[in-house]
Amino acid sequence: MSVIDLNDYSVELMTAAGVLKAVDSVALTLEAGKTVTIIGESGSGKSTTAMSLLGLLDHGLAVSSGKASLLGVDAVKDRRGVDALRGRRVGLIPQDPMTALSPVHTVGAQLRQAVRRGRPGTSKADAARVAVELLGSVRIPEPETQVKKYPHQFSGGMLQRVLIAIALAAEPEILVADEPTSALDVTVQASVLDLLLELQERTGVAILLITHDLGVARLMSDTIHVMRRGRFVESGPADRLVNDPQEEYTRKLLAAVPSMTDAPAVAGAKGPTASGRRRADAGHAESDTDSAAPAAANEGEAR
Amino acid sequence: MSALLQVQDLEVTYPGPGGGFRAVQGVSFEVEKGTTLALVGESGCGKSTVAKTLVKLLEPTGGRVLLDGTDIVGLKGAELQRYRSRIQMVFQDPYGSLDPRLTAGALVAEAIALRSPGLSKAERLAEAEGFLDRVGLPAGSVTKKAPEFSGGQRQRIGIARALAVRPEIVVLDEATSALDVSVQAEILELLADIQEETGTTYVMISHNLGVVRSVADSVVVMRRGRVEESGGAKAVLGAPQSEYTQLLRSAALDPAAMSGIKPREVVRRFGAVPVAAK
Amino acid sequence: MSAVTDSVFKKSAVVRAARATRVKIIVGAVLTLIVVVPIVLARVLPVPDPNAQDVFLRLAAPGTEGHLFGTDQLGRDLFSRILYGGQVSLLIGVMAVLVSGVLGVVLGSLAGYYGGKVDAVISRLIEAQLSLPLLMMLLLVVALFGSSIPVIAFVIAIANWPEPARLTRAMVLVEREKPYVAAAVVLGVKRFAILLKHVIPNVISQAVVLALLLLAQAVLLESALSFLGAGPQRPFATWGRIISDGQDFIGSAWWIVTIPGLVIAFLVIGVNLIGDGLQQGSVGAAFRRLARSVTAMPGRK
Repeated sequence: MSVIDLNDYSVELMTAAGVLKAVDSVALTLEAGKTVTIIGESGSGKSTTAMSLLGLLDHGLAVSSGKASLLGVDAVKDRRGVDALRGRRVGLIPQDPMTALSPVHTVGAQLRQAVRRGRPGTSKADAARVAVELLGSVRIPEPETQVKKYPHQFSGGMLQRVLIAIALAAEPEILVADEPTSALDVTVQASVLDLLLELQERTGVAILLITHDLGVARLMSDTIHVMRRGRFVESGPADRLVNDPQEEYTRKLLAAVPSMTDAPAVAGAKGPTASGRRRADAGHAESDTDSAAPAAANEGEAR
Repeated sequence: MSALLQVQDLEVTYPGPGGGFRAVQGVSFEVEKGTTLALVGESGCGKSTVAKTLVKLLEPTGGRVLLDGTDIVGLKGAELQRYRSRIQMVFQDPYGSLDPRLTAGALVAEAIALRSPGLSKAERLAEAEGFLDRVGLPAGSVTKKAPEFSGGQRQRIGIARALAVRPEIVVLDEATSALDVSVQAEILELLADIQEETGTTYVMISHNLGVVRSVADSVVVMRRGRVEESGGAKAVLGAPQSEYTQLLRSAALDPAAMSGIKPREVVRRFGAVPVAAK
Repeated sequence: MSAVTDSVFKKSAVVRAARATRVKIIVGAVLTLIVVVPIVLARVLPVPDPNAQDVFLRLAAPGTEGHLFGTDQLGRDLFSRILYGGQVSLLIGVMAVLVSGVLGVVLGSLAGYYGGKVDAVISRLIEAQLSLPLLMMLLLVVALFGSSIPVIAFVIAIANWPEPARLTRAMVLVEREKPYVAAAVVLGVKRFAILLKHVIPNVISQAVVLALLLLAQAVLLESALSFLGAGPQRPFATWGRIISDGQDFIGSAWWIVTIPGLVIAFLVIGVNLIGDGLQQGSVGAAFRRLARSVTAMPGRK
């Protein structure tokens, strides 16, 4: 049973420069428990697709058309229906953790609010208990103490986990994650993605993921849709799309990702075998050759 | 032959309670002429602070920075001006790093005027046009204002501006981080071309190991203000010694290295995916 | 094929905002021009001498024997007095705005850009002046130095410089942190040159719009001063004086007080509306927008 079904879905934006077709006739299906990713560069329309589907674009700005079914609700015609789903059966993880939360309320207060909105009829005491449980489920240590803190007291990675917890507060059937790790450091990103995967395995939630990062897409998805200028250029199972891209644009995207392996993935860039440049083949005589000793003595010093 | 740029025991401490915040401590590295050194690390590791001290946007609180053997810490006046003509910077933000009221030509001409004060306005603009062409911008860009260009094109203007001074060293402060992946590749290619042609030395600041891997000769990995590991790029990134660098490497998700790994198979090792061993 | 019909487009946020701006600027311009154009053309228009008294037509109602706005207690034509009085008021207003605008922008820029002691001194000056009871101070100055036009204009300019200074300072503080300023530093451009060539040009258009709003304030202030008797002395017939002189006749000859008041209101509201409309972009773009908007709606491409 598909929880999201888009067919010939379009979104037009009314801007000062005229009417812009930000999303042009896209088709997408998300099954329960699976992950579908829309990948694209800036301006491709990937975020607009998700935001419009969730009813987050103002009537005065965007007009959507086509077929869009969100848990059985017609997302094009029934704005009220979609509003009722948001925060309850559909959770959203916004892009920038630093600005997505209210700075003047504790994390616990915001969690409790999400819980009570998502599970109507929950008492205050129950909400408080669930809030602590949620923090625990997103692997935040000592949740009972953390619940009283304010957002500015958390690091980016921790805040993103809090946002995931809030999104999960209502035990949603769908999670929409808009660039969930783009604002995070690479090591933190890894653990947040791992968390999302674990949560999906445990709760069976379906995930619609928006990202520009091919590595993230390949890691997380069952199906990938490559988006460019409002259209889906190529769609397919994640490993097939990455190993055997059919479209020129997809190939170009893959080729442009700088590779960690020996083959120079950057088109034309000078790799280790380039002529005319001294490369660090035989171990260049730099100041420190091996792991620097100072690293170990780090603990007491920095922040 | 000693290196062109030598950083010795660099220390930058911001004033504050409890002795202040040590953003950079005990950092040392060298850059050979004509090569690319990459400073990598995650946010808050101090790499940007080091970059700023190199172009003298910040004064270090300790240590030395030697260009051709001369310490540039504490330089003033005419000597400072001369130093500035030898080292330039390309900034991360393509939108904020260009004055929105100036044309591309004027932006580059300003740099030329500082390097060659004797030129007339027409001569400056002609030279500016040459630099803009060199960085791959279409003809006619000279008269267009910054907001009329895309992000990638703006970075090209920034590169042209830096090159117009004809510096020996260019500091690339996350110069491609704000760009789309495909544009990033083009800019990196351009930078490599320029280095091949002019022998300019690059100090590249980045958090993206993949980018670093493809263009750097030597790498310095920073963490919490200190040097974690350093050496030749192939050595440090191919066979990292320190645990932190290993972690950085495995956390850099490279789709090309994931063949054979089914979607969503994750090894629960600090949540990182192992890069396929070659 | 588009789902955006004409009626939907007309209701879009961007069209409504453009319409609101257009309306503001047009209405503002109309109100302002109704007041300013006759004043500027006063000498050319067929109006009687503003100082010519007519004993037989004192306190005549508007419309009597060719007196459009009636006459005052000495039989002088009110319309003419308002026009010529307006010349003085506007002159003072414009002079004051120029001086306070320039002074404010210069001091504000220096304070925002250099910070430190410069900022401390200038900010304290701003705060000090803002905390003084302005009207009292101005009355004191006029009492000490007389009430000639230059003194009044100067005094009003001094009264108004803190606002543009504060705004400019705030804008400069923001611009200063932008990467293009750092880029100029790295290039080797001298600090003062950066302020002059990069920072100020980027904040100036906002400051100009503020100056427009100051004009209204200056005119109001001048009216207040002359109302209190501290304005330019006779025979100049400034608006404040006319109102002040007409106080005794509010019951019998309401037009002497009310009409100048309305004129002031039109000018102030008109100028403020224009300023509001212009604030949505740079002055140049706004003028272009004004020209375009008077002729067409935002087009659909």
